[in-house]
Amino acid sequence: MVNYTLTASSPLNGLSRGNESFHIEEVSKGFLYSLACHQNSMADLTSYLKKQKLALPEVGQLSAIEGCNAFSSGRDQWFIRTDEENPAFLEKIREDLKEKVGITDQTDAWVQLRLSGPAVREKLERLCPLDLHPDVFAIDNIARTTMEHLNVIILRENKNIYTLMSARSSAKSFKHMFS
Amino acid sequence: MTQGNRLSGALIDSENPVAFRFNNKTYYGYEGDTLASALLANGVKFVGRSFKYHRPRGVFSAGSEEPNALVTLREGAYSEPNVRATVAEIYEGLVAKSQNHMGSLENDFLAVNDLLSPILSAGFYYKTFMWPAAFWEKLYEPVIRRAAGLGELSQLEDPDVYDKGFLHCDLLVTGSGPSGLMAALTAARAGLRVILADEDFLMGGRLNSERHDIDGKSSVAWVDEVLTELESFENVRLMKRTTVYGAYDHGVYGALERVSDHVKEGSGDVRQILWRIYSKRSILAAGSIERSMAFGNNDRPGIMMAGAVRAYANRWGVATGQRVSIFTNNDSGWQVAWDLHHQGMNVVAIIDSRENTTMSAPENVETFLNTKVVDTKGRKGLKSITLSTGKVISTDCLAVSGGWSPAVHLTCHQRGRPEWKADIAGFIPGGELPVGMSVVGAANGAMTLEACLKEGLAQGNEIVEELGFSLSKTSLPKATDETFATSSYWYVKESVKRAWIDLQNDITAKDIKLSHQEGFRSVEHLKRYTTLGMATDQGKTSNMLGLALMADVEGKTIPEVGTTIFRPPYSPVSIGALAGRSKAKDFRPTRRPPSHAWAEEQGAVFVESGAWLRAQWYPKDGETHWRQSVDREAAAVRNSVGVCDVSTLGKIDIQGKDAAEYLNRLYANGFAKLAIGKTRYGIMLREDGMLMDDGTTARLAEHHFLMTTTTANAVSVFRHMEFCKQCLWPDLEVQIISTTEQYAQYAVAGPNSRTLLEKIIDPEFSISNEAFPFMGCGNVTICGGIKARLFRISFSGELAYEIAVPARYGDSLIRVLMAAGESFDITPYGTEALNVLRIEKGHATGNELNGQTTAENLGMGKMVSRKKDCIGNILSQRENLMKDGDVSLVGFKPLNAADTLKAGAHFIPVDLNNVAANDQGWMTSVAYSPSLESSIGLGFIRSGHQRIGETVRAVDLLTKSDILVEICSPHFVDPEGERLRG
Repeated sequence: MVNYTLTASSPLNGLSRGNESFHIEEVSKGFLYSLACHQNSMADLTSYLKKQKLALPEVGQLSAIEGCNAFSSGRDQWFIRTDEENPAFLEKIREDLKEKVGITDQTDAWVQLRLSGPAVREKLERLCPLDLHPDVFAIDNIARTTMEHLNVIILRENKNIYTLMSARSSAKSFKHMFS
Repeated sequence: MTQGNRLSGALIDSENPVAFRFNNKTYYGYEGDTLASALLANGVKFVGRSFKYHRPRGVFSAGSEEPNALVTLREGAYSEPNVRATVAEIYEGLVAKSQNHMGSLENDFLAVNDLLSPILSAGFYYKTFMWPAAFWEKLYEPVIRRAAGLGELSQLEDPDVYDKGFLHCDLLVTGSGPSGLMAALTAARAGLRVILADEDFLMGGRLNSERHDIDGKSSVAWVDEVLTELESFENVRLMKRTTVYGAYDHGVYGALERVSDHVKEGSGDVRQILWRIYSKRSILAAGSIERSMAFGNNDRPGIMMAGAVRAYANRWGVATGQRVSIFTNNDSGWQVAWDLHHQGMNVVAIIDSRENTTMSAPENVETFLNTKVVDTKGRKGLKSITLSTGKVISTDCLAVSGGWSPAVHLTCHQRGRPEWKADIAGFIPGGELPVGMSVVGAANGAMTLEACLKEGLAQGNEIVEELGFSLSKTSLPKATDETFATSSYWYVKESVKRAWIDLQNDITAKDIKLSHQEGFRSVEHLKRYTTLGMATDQGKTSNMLGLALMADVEGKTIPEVGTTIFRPPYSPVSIGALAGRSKAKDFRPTRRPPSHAWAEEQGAVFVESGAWLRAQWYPKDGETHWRQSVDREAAAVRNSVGVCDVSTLGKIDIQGKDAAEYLNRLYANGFAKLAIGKTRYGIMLREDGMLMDDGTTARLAEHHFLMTTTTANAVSVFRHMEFCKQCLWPDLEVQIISTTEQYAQYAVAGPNSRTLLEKIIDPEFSISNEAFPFMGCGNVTICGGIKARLFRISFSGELAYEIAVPARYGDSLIRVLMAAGESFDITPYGTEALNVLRIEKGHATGNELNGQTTAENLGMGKMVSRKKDCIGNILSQRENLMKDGDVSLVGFKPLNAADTLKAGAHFIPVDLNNVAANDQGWMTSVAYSPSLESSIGLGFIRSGHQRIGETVRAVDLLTKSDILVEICSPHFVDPEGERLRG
């Protein structure tokens, strides 16, 4: 019996601030996994996910089912985000597809900030080199880019809701972008 | 609140007076005034001293081209020197002062320079201050800089906040005069995403400064209507106070928006924003800039550009003089007279250098054709002018128009060369323009109103069609083309007195001639020799004059002489804006390992390691020197147990049925037969056979490995592996991903490490020496079920483990380890102690793996397997890399234990001189070893392994250190490795 307990902490301690026009909130719940498809297994993976009603998204696109979404993160590689209610989703894929896929836990590697409000694009144009005009960066679009020298993944989840992901170790610098 | 020179009917808000101070005196202006217009309204004409001769100078222009009226705005840390009063908006409480004078502006001691002008010509400094050379930096330069120059910095940290941003559009229109507005309107109506930017705070360009009718209404009313419509479009962004300062590749433009320069300092969220604008097309509608003419004493306060006199009267309601005279070589000078007359100003004379003109003057204005101004009087304010006929006219303001130069600057930023257009006596855009750029209006040589509107409409429509939009039904507004006849007249040769070419740099016609005489005849040489066209105005009002004069003395035409290259920025950009928010500790992102907050609580001293901030040592109360802390920490690891955050090491997850083969090809040593649950040290070579990186790789499952890299090479090794995977061996079934950030990893090292870990690892996992031997690895759970990875590896040479948990538990785990280790007096150790421990053990790091060393050099030649291929294998066997007598890594200790070794010292045989020819190697790493109670070192020396026991000199000429050292084994502590296997 071990007499010590470990407690989890999020990179920005649950940051939440802002007002009606712009709000920023750390996404500290849920899980994030990388899913890599080994050679000649694409069809199996696609068909398997189709049964789960989750399409493998094209580069730059987000596909989603209830409690889970996915986007491409590299060649034959995707990031799968699940909410806290859905922890076993990836474990089940691992069990079912075994050697056909490679899965790694990335939940703790990233800090995620959800930006929302009518002024969100105005804030982002001071940080993000990408064109975020709604006609160009539509809902369910994602992209990798750099902001203030940090690697960032940006996802547009709704009209005025964007999620930004960056490396956990530089979370404070990431937060500084919005100061 | 008397503003004696204020007229009515202007574009200022006369309901809102504004108080400001200039040279400690309070004045009043109105909202909409610039500092220049407000000072002129108050009768202040003398606002500064010239750069070199300290001549009294006044406001010369009404825009960003201003060469004279440079002031220091604001006070203390907020102060900013060299601000052009002509673009500085006044606000309540604004403080401004003149600059470049010793004593008051009125009584400047350094005005004595003007008397010395006969010897202070161009090139004077180069010729005079040559001997003795040592005096230049210590005496000559400081004195010259004190006597000549512009404003002074506060030397305080800039308290303002600056930012950067990114904008995207279909069409960027630069300039909001008639052609720019027309183009923007046409494109906006068609649905293009349009950005209209103007450096002014009031859009409309010259339509605000001149009197015209458009579509049967005043041009000002037309501007209002167009701007109102543009503002109503969602697809349009109007950016006033924004200077598009540079044209870069692929339709990218730099723009500086002065967000809060016009309000009380410190009251805006951000002072300025540096925008990067990505455009599909751009239209340059930057207008044209009026230039002067050179004649005797043409620099007195009260001598101004004619267009500026017109703008002050029309836009700001300011009479720049009570008796205004005009000296022109073109029709616009006459138009100025009519506008001034309309505003009720007293125009006394028009002097035109041309023999004839179609223009007429208002009633009671004396006109002189084929006549020039040859001299002026009035040291601190113009009093009279002398004409070439000998006639003297009493006047307090001389409006000069030497013609108009299209503002082609941005068209040249990618080396476009402008072309001469004789009918306007000016250069228009030529050669290859920046991609996607077109030019309209006066910037394109269209000097009249209707032509400007027509070009704006036509170009707007052309771009609409090019980008696949449908044309809007925009028609050409009704306007008339004013006359613009001009002549190519630049310099009044009859003038005996000094005739200024470049007011900002105090360049006279004589200086241009001297430059020619001394052989500096190319325009680029002329610029460097005389400084013509340098500083804040970049010669906007003077360059043409200089070129024309050089052409004259060379006997060439102006286009034959050519122009200098215009480069960004168009007008000054503050360094703060270039830095944006990247300053001080936020200059670059900082990476913090999981234990950072805890380490801060302990008072750790941190060191930057790449982007990482790592604990260097943890001082305890009473420790006054870093060595005390580091010695204690290293000793604690040897004697009990220490803990160190090693999360910064690169961690790369490798999966797939070919993962082992992939590693086999990457690493020089074999990995195919590594057993599951085992870890192996590996070295990676570059293609050229040199050592690239080292680290351990653990086999977690048959097809699952975890590699660690050095902290420094984490990214480059991953990039190398991606390249190998995707380009060299795409047939291998393998996937890689970085998990560096995912795990918090701690080294727990020392004889008590196992006992400590047993207190937190769940009891179902045994870590006894038998169950978990040296180089073992595996998954465990700790603290009641938290998943962790455990590796029995040792960098210190002690019994040691590295334990990894998901990063969310990183902070908690360091606290738990410290609590659980309390009974062992557990000691956190930083990178310094880590270094001491590894040097004692003879382990290499970046100092030894410096990109110039091989496995052979490091004594690891046998690790490069000849039974398999790997990257770098063949080239590592090059003859020169394998030869006998090459350097090898060994240990060094001083013969005198009290001596301190120096990293970087070179090894010289005892009986030879310390010259390069006798250099046998160098010291890579040194430390004080608490175990040996001596300074020790690692280093490369020729045939090192065959020379154990030999004495050489370690010579460091930088610190003048020359120490006798003994060559020894690099393994100072536990050479047999009994401790780490125990």
